[in-house]
Amino acid sequence: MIILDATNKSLEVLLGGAITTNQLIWTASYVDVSQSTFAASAASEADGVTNNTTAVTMVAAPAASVSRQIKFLSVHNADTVAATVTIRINNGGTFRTVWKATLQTLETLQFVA
Amino acid sequence: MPAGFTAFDVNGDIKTSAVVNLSTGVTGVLPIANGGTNASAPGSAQANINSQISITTTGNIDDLDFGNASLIRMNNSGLSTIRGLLAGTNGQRVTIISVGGGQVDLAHENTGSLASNRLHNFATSANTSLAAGCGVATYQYDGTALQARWKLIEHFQGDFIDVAYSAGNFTAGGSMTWTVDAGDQITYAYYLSGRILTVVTYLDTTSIGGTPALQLFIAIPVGFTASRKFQNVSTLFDNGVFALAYVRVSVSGTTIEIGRGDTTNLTASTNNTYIRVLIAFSVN
Repeated sequence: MIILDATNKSLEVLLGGAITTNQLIWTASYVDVSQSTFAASAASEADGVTNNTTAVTMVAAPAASVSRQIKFLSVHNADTVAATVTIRINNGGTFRTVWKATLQTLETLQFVA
Repeated sequence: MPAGFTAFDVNGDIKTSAVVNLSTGVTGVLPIANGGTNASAPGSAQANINSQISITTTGNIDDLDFGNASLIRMNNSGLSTIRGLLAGTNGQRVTIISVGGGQVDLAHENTGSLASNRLHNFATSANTSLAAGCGVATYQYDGTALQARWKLIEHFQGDFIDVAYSAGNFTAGGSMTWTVDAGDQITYAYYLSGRILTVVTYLDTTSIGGTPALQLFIAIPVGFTASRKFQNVSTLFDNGVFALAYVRVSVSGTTIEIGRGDTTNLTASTNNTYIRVLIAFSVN
């Protein structure tokens, strides 16, 4: 499980280089849980595409006193060439790589909590 | 599906889930294996992908497309000579194991395959062999520019391999003749380990004619050449009489030299010369 537990923590995706034809497609599903009552307050999905070497926020930072539990992630390489994918946590401007590897054309990365 | 990250190939099969070199913290670029599943490799950026392919082809095999499997099962019924594998990714490993009834030869730098697909063996003067049903070799891909090759990193021949009888493998010095019939060749076999070649021969009831001279010659198996001068002590029965013998190879030599230990001429005989050889030496 990946948890974002502060308002300055988010999850990002970026590529090792510019794509050739198509940006990579990503999705994310997550649940917000109160840090005091531990009650789930929302279940959400986000999706989008990468932006070459510029980081894209997959899962935004939670509200105060909320932990955002990431349940599922996927990144699909829809480009015509291999792509090096980095998924990282942005902790107030400090970056922590969570996963980095090469996805060949039409390969898919999935994270399941 | 287990929790965590999993990569899937184009067919939807699991590709890998190991991503970080635990010893260096450096994340890695992972190879693909069609249909493979990851077995994880702690401390290594290389995923150990469990996938295999079986090959039954005999004869020369160039630029073998093995689907990036981690194990090539050679189930050939006759001799197969692999002369190249499709180029891999840096650091990729593949193991070739003989499971069939035929010998497997691994050709060094054979031009039948594209340069980047070629095998680079320990021994360079002849093929590296896998004994039928038991030999195994592992290659790792070195993608260094201009010299990208599959580099041999482990090899176990598995067993001595017999040399097929050929009268031309047995010759004599000067005007002496040495006749070794097919039935005289009880044992003539070799075992390659690294660049050390061990040869054993057990020849009975051979004949010596012509003008007796000092030496008999046995061909070093399968075309290897010696890289150093080596000598060992052996025995022979010279026209039925026991004698010590020397066996020797010379630099770049293609034969094993055999002579009496007292360096006198051998004796003419009819089916009464017996030769025993056991020698290990370095080869090119």
